[in-house]
Amino acid sequence: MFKLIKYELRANFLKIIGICVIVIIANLFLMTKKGSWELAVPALSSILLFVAVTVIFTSSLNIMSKYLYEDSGYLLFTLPQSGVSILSSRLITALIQISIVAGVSSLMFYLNVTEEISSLFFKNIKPGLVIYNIFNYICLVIYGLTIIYFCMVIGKVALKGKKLGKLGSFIIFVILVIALGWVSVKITTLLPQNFDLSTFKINSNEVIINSDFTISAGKYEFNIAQSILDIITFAGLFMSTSYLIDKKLDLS
Amino acid sequence: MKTEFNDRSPIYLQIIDIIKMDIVIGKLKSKDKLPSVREMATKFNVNPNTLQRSYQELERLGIVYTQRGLGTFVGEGKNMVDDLKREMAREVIDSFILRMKSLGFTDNEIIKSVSKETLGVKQNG
Amino acid sequence: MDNILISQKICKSYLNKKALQGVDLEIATGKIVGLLGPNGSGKTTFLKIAAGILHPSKGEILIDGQKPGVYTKSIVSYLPDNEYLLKWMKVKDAVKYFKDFYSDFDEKKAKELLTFMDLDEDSSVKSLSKGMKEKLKLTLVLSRNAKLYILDEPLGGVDPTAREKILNAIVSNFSANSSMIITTHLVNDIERIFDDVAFISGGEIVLKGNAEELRMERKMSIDELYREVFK
Repeated sequence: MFKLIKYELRANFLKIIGICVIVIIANLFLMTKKGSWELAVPALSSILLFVAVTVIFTSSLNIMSKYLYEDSGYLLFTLPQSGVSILSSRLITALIQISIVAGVSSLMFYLNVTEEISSLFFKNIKPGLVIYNIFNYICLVIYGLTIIYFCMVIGKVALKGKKLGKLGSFIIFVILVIALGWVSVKITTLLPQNFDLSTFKINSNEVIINSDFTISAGKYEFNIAQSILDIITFAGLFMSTSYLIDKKLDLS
Repeated sequence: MKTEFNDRSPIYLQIIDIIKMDIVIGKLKSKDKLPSVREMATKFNVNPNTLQRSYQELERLGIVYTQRGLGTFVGEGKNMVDDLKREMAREVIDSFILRMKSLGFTDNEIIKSVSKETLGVKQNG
Repeated sequence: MDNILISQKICKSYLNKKALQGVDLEIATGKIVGLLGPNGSGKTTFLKIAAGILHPSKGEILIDGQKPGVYTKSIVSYLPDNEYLLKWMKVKDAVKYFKDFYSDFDEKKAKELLTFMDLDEDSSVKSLSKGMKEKLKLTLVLSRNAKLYILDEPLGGVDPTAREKILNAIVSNFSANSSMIITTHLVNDIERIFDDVAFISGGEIVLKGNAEELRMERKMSIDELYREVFK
């Protein structure tokens, strides 16, 4: 698995550097315009952040799509690697790539928003909150990608042809997301118990609208039932995708 | 070396003929080591199993013998070269006679034309 | 003698066509088998099933006693008929890649084959001509000490001198412990390498046997036999 990660990172190395360099240069340019363009600067910087992350995220999907529908899949799927290994390495690689781009873009955005790097900012950071946010972010990316990868693989397995397969994947994705959302609402209204990480107590909060991770002003809590649902769904989708890759994937 | 073989008949037999020929003309002498199966296979771009079969058949015929770990060697039979020479000559002659007969030559005519031709070859060098 | 590959009534159907309709084939250890047939006969489909990237609709295929999966992929060295090499790599990267993922990869053999094929370690895959790419693919595949080599059209799109080299590499790489199954429609060039041949048409094996015996029986070359079977 780690070898797969190594090679995947190497394959897209230039792309990541390219995106980061563009973001850095563009932001540096914006910094010079802080005086004249004023509010446009942070706005544009945030757009850069959004675009950069979208680009790298899309690229992660594209790589999987190429494995499924194009010749590069032949090399990957003839390796003596299990579906679990292949999927895990893809997810971890994507996470690393997205994080690098997101990190660099966020940093540049932050530099463009503030006037100076305030030491106060660093003093006031609660480490627990930071870890929680990072953990949330990782879960979000991995879970999100797993859902999409599942839909891609199942579209490829179930439907013949590139166009039909991709269309099918998209439709399955939409249906799946809606279904998960619906179940999520039902569960959280039925079982509105939250777990509060700041106090390690279980609160009951009636006002949950489809939120996986609720953070409000330093308090971090999450709905227990929702989280269990998420873990089960993730495990199910992950194992299904691995199974499909192992036993059902036909390369054209 | 595609030109060496005729793909219409078994290749292992053709290889046997090549080796027999080499022995008859003296290119391979008694106790000489034959190239390994792998070497021959690579030289002719032929399946090594085919070579193996040729060597085995030659061993069965008593023309070569194998020493474990050392290789395959040309046999030492005193009369072996002569026997082979005669046997191969007979094959050529039989086939020649058959063809001449099918052209309509009688036995005497065959003998006469052979004498004439060999003399002619001698004279022309 | 053990069979490295046993296929029983392998079928593969798609929505609109039946690619394989019951293929029975055995490949014994140490044998080189030619799977011969025209385009669309199902030969590539069969090879892909053996390689584990396609799954049969019906029937059973066992490689070294196991169904296609992670283990069989580790003992099968597959040469597909397409451009599957990663374009960002240099030749030496591709060698390293194979070395990293296949424990049976022989780096020394790879270096020898690269020299034999006149391939420069530092060239990028992108810059190679079609013929050189074929030679590189073959180098990588043959440098593994696999139990079964699956070569799909190893001579395709390659000029005659390169073909000789490729055939030579295949023959010199032969080991009594491994087997090969090769598909081609350039039967003439390669028929001397086959122990056994199987003719496939319309997804079924229509004739199979030992190459030398077929030559003896039919008094024709395998190439001529091919033309006759598929006229």
